Amino acid sequence: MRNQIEQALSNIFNEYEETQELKEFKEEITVNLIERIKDKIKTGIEEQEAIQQALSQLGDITEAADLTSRQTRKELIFKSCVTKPKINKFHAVGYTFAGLSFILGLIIAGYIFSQYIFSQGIQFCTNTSILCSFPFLVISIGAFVYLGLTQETTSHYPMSKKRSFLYAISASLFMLGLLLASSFMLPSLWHRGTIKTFFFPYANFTFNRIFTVDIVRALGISIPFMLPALGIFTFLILTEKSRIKPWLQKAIEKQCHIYDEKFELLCGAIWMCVIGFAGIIWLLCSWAWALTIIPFGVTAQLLLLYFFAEK
Amino acid sequence: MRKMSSDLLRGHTDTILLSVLAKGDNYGYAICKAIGATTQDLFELKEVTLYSSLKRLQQFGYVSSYWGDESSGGRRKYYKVTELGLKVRETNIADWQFTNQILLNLFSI
Repeated sequence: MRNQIEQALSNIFNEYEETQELKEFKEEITVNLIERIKDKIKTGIEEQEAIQQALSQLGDITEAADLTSRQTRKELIFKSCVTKPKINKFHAVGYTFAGLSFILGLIIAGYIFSQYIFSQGIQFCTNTSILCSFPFLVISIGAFVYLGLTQETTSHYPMSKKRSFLYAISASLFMLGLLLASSFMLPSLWHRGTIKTFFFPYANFTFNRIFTVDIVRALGISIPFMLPALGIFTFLILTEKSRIKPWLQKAIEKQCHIYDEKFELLCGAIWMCVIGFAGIIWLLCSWAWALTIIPFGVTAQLLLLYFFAEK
Repeated sequence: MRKMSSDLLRGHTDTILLSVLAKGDNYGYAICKAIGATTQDLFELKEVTLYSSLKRLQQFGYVSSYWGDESSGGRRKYYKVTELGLKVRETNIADWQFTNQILLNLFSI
């Protein structure tokens, strides 16, 4: 029975974006429907018949639900234009802790560097500071990504929790790979004098063997983390659904429409100009010379296209 | 047999829901049932009206919601009336009584 209901609901809502809100709404409807059906069965209606009755009521409901959602959308447009959605407690606390954790990581790393850089050398400093600060840095980056994506903004709905979590894992893995790679690259750059070279470009710097080995090492140690991170990220990006709010969507469409009209007008102007100039040149010189205006017209057209594509 | 004006009732869905919730926290289907039982099934609240009304009440801060911890058959989403909601309910009822009195006066001119 549950499967049947869930299937029907996912059919009904398949055109809506899968936000956390919708997910919870479906869960709420499902539980209520099941109880309604059970009560119907108790009064002597057959199970399938009861399910059909409840679902057909729901069919009417979605029609009306569209109407009500349009009403609430209006409220939403008004609200989102005037006020920002409030940050809830979870997000406020989360941001604070993630920020503190990040700063703590930086302080630890900075402290180790400043204390031991002269007595223990760069390799020790880099390794120790990364070892001591990476839990803070990695977790805070993941937390920031998760919180940022699950938060409702004026223009976007929050992403579903599961998806945001995957993004957060991807970001954390990437950060971990970056930190591990820098444990090889930082000392190497330091020793090779690249940092010096960066500031004094004319100093003598050779891209020698040791440096290359360090790059390979850095890549080697970061790839097990970076590769899955990029894999997850690519998958998520490719399967991304729009979370843009209706009012913004409408504004974008309207803007696009205006641009379309402008584009057509400008195209017309360009080619009328081209024809005019071609005519003048034909009269002054010859038709062969007049033809040379065409590449200019095409160039202007392409530039126009580029200009509008950017918008 | 008297007839009941559904339109008139529908205008008071919010207050009706606040009244049901004022008796205790409740969830969607049970709210529908409670309304049906109180009116001897004369007034049936449509599910969509229920959901959209609850959503609106939540937006205004008149009710809050939380998930129940039922172990079998899925979680129920419970609604709880807030202090503000109780005040609004009282105001609405007082307003209705005032309006009703005016109507009665008008009808007996």
